[in-house]
Amino acid sequence: MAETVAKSKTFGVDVGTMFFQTAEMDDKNNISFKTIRNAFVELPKNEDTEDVLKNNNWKWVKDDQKFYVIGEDSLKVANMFPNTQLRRPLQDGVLNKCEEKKMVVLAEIIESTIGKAPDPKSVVCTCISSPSVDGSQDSTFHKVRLQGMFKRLGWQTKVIEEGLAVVLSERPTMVESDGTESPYSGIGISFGAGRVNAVLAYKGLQVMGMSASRSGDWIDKKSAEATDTPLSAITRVKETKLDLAKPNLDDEKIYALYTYYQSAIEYTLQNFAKKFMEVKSQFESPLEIVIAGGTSSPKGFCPLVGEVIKGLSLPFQVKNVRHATDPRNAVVKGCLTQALITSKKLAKATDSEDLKEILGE
Amino acid sequence: MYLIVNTTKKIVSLGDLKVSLEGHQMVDLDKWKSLPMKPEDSKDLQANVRSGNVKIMKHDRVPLGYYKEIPAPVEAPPKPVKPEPSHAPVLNEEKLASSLMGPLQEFIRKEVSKIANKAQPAPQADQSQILNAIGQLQKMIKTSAGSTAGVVDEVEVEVDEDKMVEMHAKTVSSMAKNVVGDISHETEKKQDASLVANVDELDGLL
Repeated sequence: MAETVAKSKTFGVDVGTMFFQTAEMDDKNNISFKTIRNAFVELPKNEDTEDVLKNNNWKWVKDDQKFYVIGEDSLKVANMFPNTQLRRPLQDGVLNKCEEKKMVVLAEIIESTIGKAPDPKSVVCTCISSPSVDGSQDSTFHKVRLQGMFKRLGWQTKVIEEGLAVVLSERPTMVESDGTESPYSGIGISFGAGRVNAVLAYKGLQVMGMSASRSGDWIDKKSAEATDTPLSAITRVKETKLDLAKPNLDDEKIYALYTYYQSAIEYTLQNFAKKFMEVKSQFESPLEIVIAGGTSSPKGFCPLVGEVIKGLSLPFQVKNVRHATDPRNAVVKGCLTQALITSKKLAKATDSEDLKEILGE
Repeated sequence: MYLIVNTTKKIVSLGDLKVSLEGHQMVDLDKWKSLPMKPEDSKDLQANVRSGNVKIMKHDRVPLGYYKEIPAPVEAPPKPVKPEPSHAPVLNEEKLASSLMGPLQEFIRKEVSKIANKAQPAPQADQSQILNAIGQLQKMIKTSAGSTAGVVDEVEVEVDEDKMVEMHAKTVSSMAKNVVGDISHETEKKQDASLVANVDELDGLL
């Protein structure tokens, strides 16, 4: 009987505050992206629960005690039943310490999306937030927990910072003093739901990174508070009416959103500038800024970043500011890029010391 | 007294107590002004003790061992060090006792010299109060000399990352043993010829 040789697989995985995403490349250079909303609601376990789930075609996870409706369906259930709380495995970019079911739900989402590793050289690359500038955040604990979740399924895991994933995906370039172009050199910024992550890289290597909490959720929350409006109404305005290049400032919700967007961008750049000062000597050439993340989706976001930059005194020159070609998928695509590089190196690795070095670098 | 120490080099934040500990900082939480709750009720403190980030050095409430601590691998004998200066006022009983002794002794000397010079000594009630106070101070000095509250052994608790990953893998496997699900995703397929070129270019650079 002929033996089937398992073929190695390679995935990019972004375990985000709002969405869980994976990316995989096939033989025809197509990238397959899978996305699921990273949220759930709890349903009591009784004789009717399974029928309710089946009849509504809701997606679920079940442990010994309860059913959990997950993904987009969880939003529907939370909106339908007033006392049902929408819960998230992640908060502010890291595993939610107040959520006791986060591991159970995430473990099942991961296993159902990427499955068990077919062989010992199959690779997952995932990303974590850079060190926080505003409030402590245990990234080390978050990192090892994520790694544990993949390791239990047999995957070799490579972890990079989220801003670096943007650089690897979008290939910013820097022109050196001698006129040569250095690729993967510049600033990658991901404006996610829970956090903003920014990384300065040079030829694909991370030089420094930082993260801050003023991102999508903060903007929505502050705008809702300022205008005494439900969060859902703010989100609706953001998704349908907001143009940050030409904001209608007579509308109080748009005015609030515009103000907090400006504040979040300024806060990020100023804190980034502080960290940049530590490595200034290497970067006299103008730097390209590439922006990704769902929070950067509204029209006019990049021009607003340009406007904010003009008003700041930054310790570096900005060559240009551009949006990622696919802002919602740039981070996971960057993770896939790194996973493919790691996979190539692992294929050449001869011993466990090599393996450790490749995964740990 | 509720003495805790941050056993790591990093900042540990106890959000529900509104307290942040610098690396290796020791504080007496009972001396911390306006804590929103008792230290023993803090879930953040409990979680950090379980993970080994924070160690409870001494307290006068619930029995030690209430919070299960993950034992840290001790590589070398711990070195005694001076306690870290903290933001909260930490009561130094020995210092207090010795600062009170001086004025008290001076008072007694004056009274004795009054008696010797046939001046009017302090009334009987005052004398017995003084004797009681001396007795109390002596007890305090004896107790604080025997206590180790002021001396903290610095314990480096840096668990190997690979071991932590292994630990979490086992924990998740155990938690997810009986978990099942019916999950679907939003799927998109996009052609991206640049990805392979980028990978090759980066492979060369890195």
